Amino acid sequence: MINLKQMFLIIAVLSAIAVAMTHTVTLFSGQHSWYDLSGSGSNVPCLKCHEDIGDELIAGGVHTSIDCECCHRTSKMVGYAASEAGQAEPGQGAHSASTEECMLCHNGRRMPETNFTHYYLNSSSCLQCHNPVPAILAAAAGGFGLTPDLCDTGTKAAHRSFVLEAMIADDSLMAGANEACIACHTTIKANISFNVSTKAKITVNNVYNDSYSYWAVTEITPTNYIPYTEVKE
Amino acid sequence: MRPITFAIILIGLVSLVLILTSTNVFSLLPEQHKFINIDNPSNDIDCVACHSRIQAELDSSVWHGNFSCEDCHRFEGTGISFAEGGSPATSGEEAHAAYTPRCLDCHDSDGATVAGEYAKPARAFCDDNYGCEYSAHRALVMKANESSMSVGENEACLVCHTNYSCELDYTYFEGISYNLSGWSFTSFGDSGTRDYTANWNKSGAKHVFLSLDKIDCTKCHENIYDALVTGTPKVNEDYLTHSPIEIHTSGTGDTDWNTNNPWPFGGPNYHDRYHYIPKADRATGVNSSYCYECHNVNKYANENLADKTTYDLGDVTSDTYSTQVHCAEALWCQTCHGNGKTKVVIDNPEQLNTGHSGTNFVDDVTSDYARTFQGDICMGCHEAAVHPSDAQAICTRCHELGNADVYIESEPCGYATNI
Repeated sequence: MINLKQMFLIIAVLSAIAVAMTHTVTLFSGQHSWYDLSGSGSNVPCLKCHEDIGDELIAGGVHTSIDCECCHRTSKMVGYAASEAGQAEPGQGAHSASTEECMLCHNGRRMPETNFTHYYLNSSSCLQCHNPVPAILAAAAGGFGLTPDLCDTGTKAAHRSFVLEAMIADDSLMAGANEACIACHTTIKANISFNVSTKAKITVNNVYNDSYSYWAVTEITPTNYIPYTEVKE
Repeated sequence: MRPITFAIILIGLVSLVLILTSTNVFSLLPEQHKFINIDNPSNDIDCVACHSRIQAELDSSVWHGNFSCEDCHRFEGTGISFAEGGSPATSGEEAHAAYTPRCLDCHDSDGATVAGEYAKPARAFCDDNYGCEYSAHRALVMKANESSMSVGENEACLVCHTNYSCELDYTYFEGISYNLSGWSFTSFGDSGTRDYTANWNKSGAKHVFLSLDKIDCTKCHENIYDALVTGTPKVNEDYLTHSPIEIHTSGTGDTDWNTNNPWPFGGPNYHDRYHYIPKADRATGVNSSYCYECHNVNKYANENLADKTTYDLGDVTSDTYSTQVHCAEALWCQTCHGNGKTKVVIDNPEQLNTGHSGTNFVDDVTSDYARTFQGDICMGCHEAAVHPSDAQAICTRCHELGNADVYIESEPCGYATNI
């Protein structure tokens, strides 16, 4: 057990060291090592903070070779902080990145009619999408009636109401229809609460006079709803 | 140091270390950037991950249990363009991942081969305008097509062919009364309205498809079942309507009027009783097969070859539209018992030449009165319970003079008077 004298001695030694040091101790080391933002693109390493997302992307599937900024700094409607010819642009709708709709790229539109812009991208990232040149155009998410293709009616789509609800929900969890896209196209966990009809109620009236009659089915309505939950692991 | 104080200090130190040393933020919804590879042609998304309940239903289904989701919900026979991978990818037009199929997409007039199996045409309902007017359930199919509850006609298919339950709320006449004089109507009228609800409660699962022998007519037509099996109790014979399921039981021998004998066996007017069921067998004997005896003679004949021979069902079939209907024919007594029909009315051999055989009575009923009344017009006399077995019977009133004063109630009651 340290006694009082020993404690004073330790404090005195530490104080002497502190007085003798030429540097103060920085609580957050590296906080004055600034990134050079003069180049094109973001120049800030997103993965420093979002390494888990980087790990997810490279795990397989699609988008494995696409940089963060190719999705998160590509909306013409936003205006990101950037540097252009040595001139700093402060950013408008967002600073470094925005949460974008999957449909920004997968809307089946070609530039310039799309809201997609290359302006804020690093010039070295071209080949991520355009290899070979000029081919890659993100496949249109057709079949929901959301692309300009006149044949894309989506009238038969089983999940159309899911997509539309994702787009209009007031308490929108994600941008646009992303909840629906993400639920199916990624391995994200999902709890889906269904409320399904288990019975049809059919109203049948016999229409008649003395000499003529027929059976009229006047109404068919779903009833006896039961809730259940699907857990997508 | 108290344990709680130690714990708080420890948690604080760990939190401090994490905050100061961790360079990562934590994602609220992990794996939203772990995209599934959809490079392959067709569908790469696991439907069952979100629809495991439907897969479980199919696993216990008699039909379609061996199908993949894609076999039905990305059926290629409709011309629908679905999204799919490959190089280049197809974006999808009418649907993205899946569509809700009409049953008739596969079961149309051409049928379809799905997963190596041939889907048969849904007879009659696959034809233009859903076939002929004699298909008993045509109105249901037509209404289903109008309904927005499901696509196409599926509501009608589901309630019969799957474990999807149904409630039928019927409204029809309560009773009729009429007078006959010399086999001619001197009055006729209906009275009252009857509401009847039939419930066919099943598990509710739309993807559990039933074998055809599990489609039970008596569940949706429970009023008919009750009319044939229970009716209104009476001493000796109960009031049972819809079809003459039993007749007078005063005799006991096979040459008399019990419910088991032909009419009369081996006699000159030999006529086996086709739709009579002994009282002891009624509860089980009134079933879908019994319904088909009249409402789908062709089907019944093909499934009951001995009866086909005994009752000349090949010829009877030609009197009906049973080869043109889906499962049941909307018919009336005249269909089989009118003039010129195979089972034209004959006289009771005990009352020869005193009934309405040789008259146009049955055909006149058909031409003059609504179809809904015709069965009960016949049953007003042909119910066993209104055929007195005791001394009060005055045979000549009906059997010679063709006089009757009938009040009869519709199914399931069947109560009747004929005085």
